[in-house]
Amino acid sequence: MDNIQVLIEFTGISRMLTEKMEYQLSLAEGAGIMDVVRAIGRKFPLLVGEVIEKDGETLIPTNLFSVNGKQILNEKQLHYQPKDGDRLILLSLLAGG
Amino acid sequence: MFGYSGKILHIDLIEQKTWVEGKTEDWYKIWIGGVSMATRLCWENITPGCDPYSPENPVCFANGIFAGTPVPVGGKYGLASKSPMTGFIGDSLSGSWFSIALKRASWDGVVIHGTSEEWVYIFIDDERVEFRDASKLMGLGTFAAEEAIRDELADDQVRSATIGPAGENMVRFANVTNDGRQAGRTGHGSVWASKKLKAVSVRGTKGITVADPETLNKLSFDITKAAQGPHTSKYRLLGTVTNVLNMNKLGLLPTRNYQEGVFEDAEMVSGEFLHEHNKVKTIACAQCPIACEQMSMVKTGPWAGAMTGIEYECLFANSSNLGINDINAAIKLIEIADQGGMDAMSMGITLSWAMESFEKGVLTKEDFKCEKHPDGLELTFGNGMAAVATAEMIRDQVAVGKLLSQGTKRASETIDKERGTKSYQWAMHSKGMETAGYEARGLKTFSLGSAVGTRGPCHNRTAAYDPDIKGVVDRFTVDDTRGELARSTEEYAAVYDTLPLCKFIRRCFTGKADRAGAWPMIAKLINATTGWNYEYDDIDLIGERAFTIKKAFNIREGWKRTDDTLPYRWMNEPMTKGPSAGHFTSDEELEYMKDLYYKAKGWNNDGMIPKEKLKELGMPDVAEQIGV
Repeated sequence: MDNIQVLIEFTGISRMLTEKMEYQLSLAEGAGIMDVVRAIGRKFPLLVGEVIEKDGETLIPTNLFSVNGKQILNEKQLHYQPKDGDRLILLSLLAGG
Repeated sequence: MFGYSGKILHIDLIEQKTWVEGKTEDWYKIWIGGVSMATRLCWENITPGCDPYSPENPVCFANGIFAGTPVPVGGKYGLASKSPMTGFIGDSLSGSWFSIALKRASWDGVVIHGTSEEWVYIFIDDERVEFRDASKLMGLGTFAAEEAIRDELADDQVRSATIGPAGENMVRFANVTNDGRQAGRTGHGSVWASKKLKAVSVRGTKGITVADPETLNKLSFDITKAAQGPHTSKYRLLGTVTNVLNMNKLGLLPTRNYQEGVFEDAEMVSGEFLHEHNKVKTIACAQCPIACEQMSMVKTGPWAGAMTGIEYECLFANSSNLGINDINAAIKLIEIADQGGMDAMSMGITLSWAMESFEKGVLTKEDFKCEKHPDGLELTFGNGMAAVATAEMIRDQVAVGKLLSQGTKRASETIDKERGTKSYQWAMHSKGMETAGYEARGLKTFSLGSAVGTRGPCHNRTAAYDPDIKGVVDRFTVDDTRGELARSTEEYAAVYDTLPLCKFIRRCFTGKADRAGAWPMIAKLINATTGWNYEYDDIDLIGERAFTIKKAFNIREGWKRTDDTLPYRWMNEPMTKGPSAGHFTSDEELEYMKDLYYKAKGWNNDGMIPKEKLKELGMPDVAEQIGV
């Protein structure tokens, strides 16, 4: 199976915890968002418990992925399969201010 | 009665007298506190149709039900008057020690009537009230005035809500400040100045009694513990300024007077940059375990030493929206607003209108000529020095500052009339209040919420960006769910604004922020405080009542359907860059969404409220006056 390349962009708390602005992730073609979450949780364990749930499988609520800045994936869209070259922006949303 | 004293303090500035109004428990069960009670007090005490700067426009404080109790983030109060910016209700919230002092002084609310002959400040010392000469406080910034009052009264337990020099100078968007927090938007500072009221100071020495202290303590302890965990760490570590990059990535960061939604230098004015280069401390309000205020300082350059708390809305308005990529200039601008007592959002957006007007030749260097700048200024996008100088002109009412001090609506109307220009096309306001830090052209539900907002386009009151930004709906299109969504989010927000509780706590009750996750716990907190028997549906009613009384107030002041609109730019000019390029909200889309919203609210198609609806909500007197 071919691999695809996606770029994970970190902002806010995820950037502080990973100390990275972005991270190139190689995924098996057909992998879904949950695979992305597992992969970055393994690579950046500090995200677990703060951005990723303790089980390493899903994002803590109000942390979401946006695909290329346009589509925002809600908790019911975990089946989304990234395409080669997608920018997955990990947003830590907060209201007010 | 538990949780309330049952007393509203009335203060007459004309005759310098006071009286006490008793309220029944049933009255408190409907109005609760915060924005709802403050608006109700304004409804009861205003002369309808009055000029906001007249003696007939009251200043109404309404304390929080949880102020001074162990309930975390409950130390807040509401403030309401008729807004000089919109002519409709101006309801604001502030927090921290002032609300606790007022509770300990045994006042649920304070209504200030009339206009003083000389500048005064009011000192509420438990049940005693003094009218004190404010002449020595004149010209002092907001924080300095609080300190000076404490020195004068020789008591550091005195807490004060003050106006700054901008308020004294009648800057229309001046605000009220206490304990480093602001009752912002809508222009309270200029209303106070019209009354020659510099400050309201409070000393409260009494205890606070609740119905079930054991239960309240236990619930509060559990929530406090959750409030120091992952549900709130983003507020603590970076604060709301996280939203600069969030919004930029989605093409929603207002840039150069909302011309676009992406700023090429967003990283340089981001929360992440601020954290690394300028943050000195995180500060919490009284009664708050979260601590979200990012105190930040300019360390080098012409504004070295400038320091203030930085929030997202103030930051976008004074950085990307001005084309400014220098974080130091942004901090300085926000400091000018905070110390001077001006709403930093309205100040920034009025500056951005002025920048675009300058670049289009509507304003010229001559307009900026004054003693300090005899050659005038070139207020172009990105020019931080000129922006800082102009902000000072606004505060001090000098040169073009006089025009700008009236906000974008009046500034553009005045200049277009005088010079035959069309600057209204880039005046970013609705109902006279400047817009918030979300590019509504890329958020269709939020564009509806902005248009129908009772105090103007307010992200805090509508919260309708929530379904757009969380991908619950397609943020770029309109469908028949938007009316109900806008109703639901605004009434959800209104519950928090009425108690009041800071919304940042919303996930700390059960881990879920929705009604099912929050309302049962809120009901328990209310019941433990008051001894009432509130349940889920009662909490929902709190939000509906709050919004309804605000709408009723507006209707009585002459609101009509055409007032629910958006700035020209949002309705006519698509963005051209970034992920939200190509989008705007058409007139047809907005009218369709308004129809859906009014229907969802149970109002008629003109947006008027049926008598039966008002009676159902426990407002028979309101039904008689404005019901249809």
